[in-house]
Amino acid sequence: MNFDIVYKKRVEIGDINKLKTQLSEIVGTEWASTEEADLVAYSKDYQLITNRWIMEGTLPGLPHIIVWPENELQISQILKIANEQKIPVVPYGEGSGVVGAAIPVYGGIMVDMKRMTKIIEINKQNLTITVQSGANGKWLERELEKKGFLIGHVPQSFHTSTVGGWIAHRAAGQFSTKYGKIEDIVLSMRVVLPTGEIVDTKLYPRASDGPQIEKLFLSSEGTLGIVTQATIKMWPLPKKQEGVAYAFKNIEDSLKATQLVMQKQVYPAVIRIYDQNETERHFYAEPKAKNRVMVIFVCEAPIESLVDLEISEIRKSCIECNGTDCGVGPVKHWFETRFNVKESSIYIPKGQIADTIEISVMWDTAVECYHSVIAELKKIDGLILASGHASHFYPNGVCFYFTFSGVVQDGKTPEDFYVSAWDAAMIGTLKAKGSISHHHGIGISRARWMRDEHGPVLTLMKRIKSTLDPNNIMNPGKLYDEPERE
Amino acid sequence: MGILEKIKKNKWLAKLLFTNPPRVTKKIINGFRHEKDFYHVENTHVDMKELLKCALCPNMCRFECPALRVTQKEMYAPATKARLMYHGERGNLDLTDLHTAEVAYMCTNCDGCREWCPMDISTGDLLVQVRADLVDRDIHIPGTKEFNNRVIENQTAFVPDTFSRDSELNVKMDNPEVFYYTGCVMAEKKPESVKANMKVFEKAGIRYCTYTDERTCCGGPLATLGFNETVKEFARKNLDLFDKSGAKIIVTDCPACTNTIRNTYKALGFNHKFETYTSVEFYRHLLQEGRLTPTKPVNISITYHDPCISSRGKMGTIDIENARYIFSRIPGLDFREVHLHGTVTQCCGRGGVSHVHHPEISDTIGKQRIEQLRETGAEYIVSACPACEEGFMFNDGNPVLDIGEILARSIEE
Repeated sequence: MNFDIVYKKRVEIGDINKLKTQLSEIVGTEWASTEEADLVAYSKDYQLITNRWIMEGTLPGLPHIIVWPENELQISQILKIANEQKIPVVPYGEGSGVVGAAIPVYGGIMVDMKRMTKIIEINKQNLTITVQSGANGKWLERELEKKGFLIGHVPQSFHTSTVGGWIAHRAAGQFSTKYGKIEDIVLSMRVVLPTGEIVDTKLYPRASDGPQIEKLFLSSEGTLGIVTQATIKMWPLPKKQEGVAYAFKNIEDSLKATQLVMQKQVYPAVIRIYDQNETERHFYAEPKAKNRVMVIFVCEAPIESLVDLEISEIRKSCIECNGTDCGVGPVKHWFETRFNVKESSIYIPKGQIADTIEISVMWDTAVECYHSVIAELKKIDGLILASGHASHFYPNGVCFYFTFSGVVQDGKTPEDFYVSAWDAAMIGTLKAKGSISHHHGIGISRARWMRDEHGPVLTLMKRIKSTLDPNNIMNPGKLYDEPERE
Repeated sequence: MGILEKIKKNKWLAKLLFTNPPRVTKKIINGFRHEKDFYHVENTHVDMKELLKCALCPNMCRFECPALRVTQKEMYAPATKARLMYHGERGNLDLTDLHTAEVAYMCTNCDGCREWCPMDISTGDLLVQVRADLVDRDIHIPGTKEFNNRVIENQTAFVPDTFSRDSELNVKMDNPEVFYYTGCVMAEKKPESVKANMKVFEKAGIRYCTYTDERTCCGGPLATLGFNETVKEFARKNLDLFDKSGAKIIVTDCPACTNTIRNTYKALGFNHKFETYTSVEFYRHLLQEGRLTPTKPVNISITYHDPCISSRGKMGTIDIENARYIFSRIPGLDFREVHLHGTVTQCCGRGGVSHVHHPEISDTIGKQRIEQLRETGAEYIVSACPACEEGFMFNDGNPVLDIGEILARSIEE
């Protein structure tokens, strides 16, 4: 193969053939590979700068070997070997993470979870499904749909992400205001620890029986072990779904309206606020939205009158904040385009460097935070687009989702621009007391901001990490520290 | 989308481009001008711009890819296949390494990917183009070149046997209205379906011919493997035969043949004027025009497998509704819809001639589809593509019928 590699500091593996033999004995020869094309396939995830790199013939990282285990026992044996030989292990689901958390920055063993997709149990009385962590979201939805249920967790990556990935990144879906984020949805899990032990956390609706160990693995990004199975909530399919859209004069009015909705305990499945830039981009066909801020709401429930009541209360809140009724057109448009991901394919080859960055903030500094991030982004030389929408809502705060795009100025690299935009967004967020990530995670992109985010709590996290993973084999160079390159 | 609509849609973009300092605008324009540098490759069949677009996507269609579902390896996710082949075409990966080249064939060309693509890209179509490059470079994974040679030798996808030359199936007449082009699989593996179609034609009073002793394979299977020169040779022969027959309408019992004659021949430079129909399209016309009236009850329960090729992708969604219309006209029929149908139909495993180069993968895909179809509890699996039907029969999906057989059963003798 003929590539440059960004993260060149790969561990030295004395005898790769010996390691391959050892791992093949565990998983079978068909399920362990050091073939070039296979290694290249696992060289990246969906951190957007990696798209620029591959066009330049550069791989982000390069694993030494790929394994595809089919059960926990195999994973346990793999991790024991890795632990003995101090070889990095990177768990891999479907590679749609956007912060670089699945890039093999030190090479090592890539553990792909795609063979572990079984549904273990659907419990209609408890409204739970127990499923292996390699299961794809859309596949799972289709299986449940046949039986009259849904999981309610629908991230934009739904078509290209796994249950394990959702847990590893403490993900949030488009319908999360009603059904909850993944931490509300996961009830228990099975984890293989870095030292090879297999542990099951207890299944309960709620308990007061010591620290919640399962919560530790949510957002651990593969650094504390490999989640192999989870029991998650499911819901009956809704009987009614209805949407409304209102346009507001500015972001302040739109936030006030949604805050009112949330604080009177109405929980629409979907709320989206698009700032003026994004409204112009997405809702150009809606004349009432010109130079305004579009907000869409979707309510659904198994009880029709509940939806009617929620819609009616939403309307009252919007009218109170001087919203203009835009009908259902914008809602339909949102449904039609909510999985359209094509900007990277179109604009990255045109030399633009772009990404999206999500953060969260309490209501009392929400408006300030939105303006702060946009202002910081606009300071960057070469920036051509800085816009935002709000995508997840709570009685106590909100998640903003910013988009930036720009061109590289003379004397700078694409990565320089990329990093400066990320730093700007982090600075803008922290200035307004926001939290640096809402649902995409830390990975590589945000690792350098973890001390600012957590202060001494980061030290506590590192202590937990070193206790569970004394040889730091699990996904090193992520979350707690930036990876070294040379 | 009209021009005004496009202007409206892209107003925000124009604003962005022209409200920057001149040096930034210059950089933006440069980016547009030099885009080609990222995908330019000399002497290729591949639409490299589209291949790169696909490669840069986060695999939003991966859940629909049957090859990935069965292999369970990231290399065979649609956008990853595009990425690896992009690296291959650009010289970063070595395509003479057959493990790498094999990536281009880990696709059943079911077009499930296109169904979910906001850019309307078929990864399968792009991989077919890569295969054509591989053929030009004399790089062949096991099974493909041998298959091409065998089809050239036999002029059919199978070894010649009695069926294709059977006098019962070989019909010639003066001034035929229709050339009934029998697909290789139907003629060789399911002659009873050909006879059923002939019965329907006769009942509807259609003057038709088949020329089974002179027809050659349409070339479709070889087109998907990139053997374009063979396809051109077959196109010439078949179009000459159609001309000779005097028929203006070509009806096939295989939607892949329809696609080859309708679209592939034209793409390869054969601009013929024959009207081409799948049997399903044609039967709907006959029923609607009153040339055919099913009266005999067919008291069986069936489920229907929509063939990929006539339910999405290359020929649009033409036959989804047509097939259901036909079933609705057959008295006594208990039709049970499978959960994933229409545009989200699942691959039968035979697409992309996968059973020739990856038989285990092809059969596993087929068995998974049979399981879905059986969930309906129907007695019979019905389809309108002989390749799908043959795959189901081979993988223990019997009883399997062609839509023409169902229609023939509903016609009084």
